[in-house]
Amino acid sequence: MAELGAPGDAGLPSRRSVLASGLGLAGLGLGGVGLGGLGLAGCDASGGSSGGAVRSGGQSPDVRVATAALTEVTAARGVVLSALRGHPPLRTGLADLVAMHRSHAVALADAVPHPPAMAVRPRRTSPRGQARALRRVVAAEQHLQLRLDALALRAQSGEFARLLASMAASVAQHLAVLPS
Amino acid sequence: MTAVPALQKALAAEHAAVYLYGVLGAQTSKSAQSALFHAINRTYAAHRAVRDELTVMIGAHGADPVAALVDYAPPGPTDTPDQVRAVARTVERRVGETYGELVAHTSGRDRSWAVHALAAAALQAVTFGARPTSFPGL
Repeated sequence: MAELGAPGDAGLPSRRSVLASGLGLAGLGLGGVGLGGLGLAGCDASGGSSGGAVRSGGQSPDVRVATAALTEVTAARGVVLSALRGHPPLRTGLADLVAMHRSHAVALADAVPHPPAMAVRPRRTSPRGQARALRRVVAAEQHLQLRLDALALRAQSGEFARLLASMAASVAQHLAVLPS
Repeated sequence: MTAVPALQKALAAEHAAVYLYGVLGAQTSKSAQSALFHAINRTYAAHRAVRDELTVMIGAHGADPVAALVDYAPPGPTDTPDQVRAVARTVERRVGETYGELVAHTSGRDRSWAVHALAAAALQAVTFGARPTSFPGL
């Protein structure tokens, strides 16, 4: 009797080995290599091109994708923080979402030459009703998932695409368990 | 690794998933654990559909899809509903990892398909009680 997925399992890297071998999520204590190890197209350590053409403005294609992803994560995080500021009882229900955004932002920040500030300012206005604030959070997360899906398709580095797809799947998971 | 080996690995994982959800369904009482039974049934049907899609995709690349094995050992005991859920979570985690790998080794339409398959596996894991993680499929 075979183990689950036996034909392929032997060759499957563990999450930790994937991270250690390239994904390197700096700051997560999961390898600490840094996203430079991802081999982002055109983003080698010397700032030169390692695959993709460096476009105008000196940014490589995958650095642009990483920058866009970080911008999206930061925006979604701002919506969540705004909801929390206006409705502190939501803190328990949204705590995992806040932690997820933080992990994703840290994972991306290494790849971005000038990352937006990690300490996101919440939007000034928060919807009055708690339910309305939650709906805004859900809409922001749905948008984030769609954007990460799209960015995963744009990424030239396969391992970077995998990271972005994983982040999108994580958003889907968190959406599934958000309080109603 | 190129696209075809990654697709074959995903198909091998789906063959296992289809088999194991059959086992889990047989271990679950339709009357006593109705919600769990129906969740298993839905997920079984989803894996069958995905397996068939992968078979077509591999054929489109000009390769012969890998065949299913005769049987697969569940990755844990299946005597109680909690154990059934735990095995389902393991199945989804392992399937999700193959889709993460598939994302890395494909582009265009195949990658788009893999991105959605990864999200589906991650969601199915939550259905069976998994806590959301920051990086499913890695």
